[in-house]
Amino acid sequence: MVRRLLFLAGIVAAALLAATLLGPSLRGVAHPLVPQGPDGTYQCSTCHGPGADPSAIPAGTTVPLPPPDHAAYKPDSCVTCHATVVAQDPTTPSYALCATCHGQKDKLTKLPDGETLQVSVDVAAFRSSVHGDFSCTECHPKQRTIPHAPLTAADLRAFKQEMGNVCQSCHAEATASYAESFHGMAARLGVSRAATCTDCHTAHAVKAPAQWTLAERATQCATCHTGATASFASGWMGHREPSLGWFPMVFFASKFFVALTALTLGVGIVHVELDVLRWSSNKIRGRKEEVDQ
Amino acid sequence: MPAPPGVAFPRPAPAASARTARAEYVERFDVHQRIQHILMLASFTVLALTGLPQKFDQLGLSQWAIAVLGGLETVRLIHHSAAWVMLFDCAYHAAYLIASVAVKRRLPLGAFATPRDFVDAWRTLLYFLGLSRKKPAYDMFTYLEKFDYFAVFWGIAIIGGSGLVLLFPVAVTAILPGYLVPVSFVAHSDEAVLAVGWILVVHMFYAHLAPRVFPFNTSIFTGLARRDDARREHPRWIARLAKDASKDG
Repeated sequence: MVRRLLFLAGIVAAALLAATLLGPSLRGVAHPLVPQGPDGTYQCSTCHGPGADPSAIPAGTTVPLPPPDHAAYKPDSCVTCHATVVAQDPTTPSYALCATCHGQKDKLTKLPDGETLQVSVDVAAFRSSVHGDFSCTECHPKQRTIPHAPLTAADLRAFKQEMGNVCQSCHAEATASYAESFHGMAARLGVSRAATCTDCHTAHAVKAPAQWTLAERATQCATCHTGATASFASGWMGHREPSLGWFPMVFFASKFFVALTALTLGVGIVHVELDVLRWSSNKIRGRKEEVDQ
Repeated sequence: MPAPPGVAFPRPAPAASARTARAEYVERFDVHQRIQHILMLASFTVLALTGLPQKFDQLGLSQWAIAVLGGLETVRLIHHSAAWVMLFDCAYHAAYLIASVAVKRRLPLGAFATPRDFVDAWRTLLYFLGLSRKKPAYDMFTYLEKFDYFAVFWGIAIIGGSGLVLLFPVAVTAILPGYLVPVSFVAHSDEAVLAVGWILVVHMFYAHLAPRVFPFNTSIFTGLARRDDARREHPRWIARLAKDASKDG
């Protein structure tokens, strides 16, 4: 009898261990249906509150209590941030949580210098962008905690450059060619209106180079260069060096001027040197400069 | 006697006659040319000092210069202002050339190359190399001075043209193809480096350091050259002046 009981207990323990190790964690899977009150508010405290109802908690489930730093929040306001819990969609990615606030239109925040920073994101545009599969915190690691720590950038320019550094962490080549461009030079020298990564590429609706139409590029140029046409936009070399196949006129111009400068200055320098040498030679030999009259 | 070919500005202007009458000096540049040179000198210097730090902005010295001048926006404002002075100077010179043709009924060709200049350049090379005992007798302007003048012509066309493209990229590309903007970006600063290099090495040498003129050839500012110096450096010019004088007298 005792041996049978120990055997059963062993099976239960093994099953519990297997369930713990192999069973689905709540991260990334659907949260069980959250009970709602008559006004529609989610009754999170039924399970997560200090006076939780044990009958509502599925057997074998451990329910975390809110961490101590959440004490300041209103009871049952959890879904304001933890939106995935009620999304009932196991594929809901992490941006859904952020979208609860940043998906709202005209969400603004203030930078330390008093400038207003628009922090709304067009979620649909972001999802269809080249970065659509990214989680928000991949580019915004400092915003991992909620509520967010205050922004460290002093002003809008510093904020854009900070975000440009984030772009640089993956797009090193594009950043190098940007640094050589007029935009990059002006930004580096402190011109606040100089274009940064997001001024041309936008922050969230980022497109692959091949996806840009000339008209779209012109529209983007025109946000700073008022009246920019498709012809104006066609002069932008992108983040590529000129070559025989890419902006050959620029390629030839740079080669031509290097050759012209070397040739002209070379001839000039040799002329000066020969003149000095002949003058010195005349002096040493005590000759006067003779002119063919 | 018919006017010799390629004569630009051989006759003394009346205003200078009192000084040239002593025969110690000859007039080399008239007042318009002297003003044009001062405008070119001033605008060129300002353009180089505000342009080079932009081309070589990674250098500490450039960043210091830009900061001292009040930041890039101010540097660009100064650069553009000086550019308008230079373009005005070019317009002044063009008007001067046209007026010279209208008044003197002769193209002022003195500063334009002739076949003789190529011969002079070759013979000068032989002299420098010790293969000839004598230097060729130059006219009013040596082949090198003519090249200096011609270099400003091509320089203004390239730097001025590309500068206007960079200043008004939207307006220019409304008519012309867009690749002109990056081409101008390359041409503008590369040609500028050539111009500054030429001025510092060749022009400064022949205006200041060359033993014949050291420390300072003042004729472009005073308009006058010492007759003795001119007889040595520009014998054919002085010989022609003497012939003209004897004919007039």
